[in-house]
Amino acid sequence: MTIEVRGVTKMFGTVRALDEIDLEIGPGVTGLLGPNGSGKSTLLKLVSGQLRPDTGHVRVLGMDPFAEPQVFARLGLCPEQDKFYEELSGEAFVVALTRLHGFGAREATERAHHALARVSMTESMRKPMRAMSRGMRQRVKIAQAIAHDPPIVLLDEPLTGTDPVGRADLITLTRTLGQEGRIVVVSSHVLHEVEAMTHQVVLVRYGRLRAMGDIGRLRALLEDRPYRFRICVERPRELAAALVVLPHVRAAELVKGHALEITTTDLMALCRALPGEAARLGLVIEELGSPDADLESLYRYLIE
Amino acid sequence: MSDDSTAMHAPSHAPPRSRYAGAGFWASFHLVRNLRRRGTLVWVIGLPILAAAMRLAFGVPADAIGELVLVYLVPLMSLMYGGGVLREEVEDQTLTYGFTRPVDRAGLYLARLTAAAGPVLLATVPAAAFAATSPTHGLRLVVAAILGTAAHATLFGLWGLLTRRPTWLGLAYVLVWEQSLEKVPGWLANVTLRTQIRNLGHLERQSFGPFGSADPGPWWLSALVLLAIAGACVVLAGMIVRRRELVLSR
Repeated sequence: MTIEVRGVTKMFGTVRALDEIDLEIGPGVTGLLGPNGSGKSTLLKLVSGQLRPDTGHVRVLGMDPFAEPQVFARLGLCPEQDKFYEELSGEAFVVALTRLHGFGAREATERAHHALARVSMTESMRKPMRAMSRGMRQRVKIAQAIAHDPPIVLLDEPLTGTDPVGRADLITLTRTLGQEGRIVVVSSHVLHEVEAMTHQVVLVRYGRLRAMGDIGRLRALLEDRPYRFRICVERPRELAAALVVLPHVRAAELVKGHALEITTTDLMALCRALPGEAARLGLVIEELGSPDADLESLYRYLIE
Repeated sequence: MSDDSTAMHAPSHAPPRSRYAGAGFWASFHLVRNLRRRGTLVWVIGLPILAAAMRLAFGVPADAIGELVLVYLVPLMSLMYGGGVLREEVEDQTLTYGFTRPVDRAGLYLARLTAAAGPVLLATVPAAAFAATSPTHGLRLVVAAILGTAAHATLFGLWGLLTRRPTWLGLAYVLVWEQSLEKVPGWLANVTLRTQIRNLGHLERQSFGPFGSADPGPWWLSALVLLAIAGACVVLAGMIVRRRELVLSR
């Protein structure tokens, strides 16, 4: 049970939105990461049969989603756009879309209620869509994607517009869907959100696959890359002159006049050398830190 | 958020069924949506009342009412409702919801077209009936309204898939092309939809002095022509909808 993307290229006019993407996604939650415009939504549109690849092929459970609509009995999509039949209530919206799956009125209503309960929308489900907050609308969109109980769920930027509580709820729901054995693909440009849902990520940038795998494995890449370290001292030029001669220091740069940013290939060696050099020059280190300490930096490093 | 994951239905997918099975529901769903629009209600209620008033209160000749309803309002209303049948959903970006369901896209298109034709039929069929001079004539007028709507709505629906401005093209077709072609002496007038509708509805044909009017043949032939046009447009549109990417991709 997989989503298979093989050699897929997608052009929009002269813009190459996706370039030779090869990918296979199995059960569990997979985060599709990349900045805005990187090709995440295009990839999800291809997987959900809304677009057709120019080259290569997409298979969902062995079927071509563009040509074989029966695949949608087993696939649910929460699209990125905040668009609805505005005059309908959340309940009517989800029931209608569930009925398109071939369920009778009663079963579709039961399923819709259950899905709306899963996204905590039972109380507000009879509100017209146009009167709902962005977070509520987002939940309704997710409910219509899961009401038919599909083994594959595609969530395109599902946390957009949600408040912190709503975000935490949706993160829990996404994790639960993955734990139930479904294939869940979540696209986002916010790394920590994806990290809260899964450790399995796919990084896309400029339409190309940049990295794929466990976040832990990607973290290991931190070990091999140049690392930036920021030091605030009174006379940064003197400290820069002292540190730049060290073999592991690649560069020293003055930042905002009183801070020094050192790029090193051996962070531990820098940490050992720094107190001695500062003491020798009579400098008091006011502040230490690294702009590269979080996963956002890894993300930037990988996509660059 | 409910974390009652086990309460989720055990994987029990929709029953196996035809690729078109959801289309009927989708047609009724969109028909109800269309009928709830204020403008639609004005047409559906107002047009039959207007036709009745013209005939009964003001003594307008039956043929003039038939001409107004079948020759002008059927095409124009079909254009209004059928021209943007999928374009509206493409631009609203709601098309995604229908197109990610296990229903053939051609079936969904036909459902939307049926929903679009619904208000046109509800307005024009009773209005056309008021132009009847006899029960048989009434039946022919009703059939002309139904088949005229089918032919026009499917034609404009097809244009809506092929062009970005089906309304302008449709207006030019109805008010310029058909109007002009109908006045061309000889058989050319037979290629207009309005000549076929006139013939089927037993309305007076356009006549031009010594050249006489076009003769589209027996009324049932006109019915077949209109049906064939509607069928061909639906098949072509279905092929386009199945093959073309219709989402706003950027």
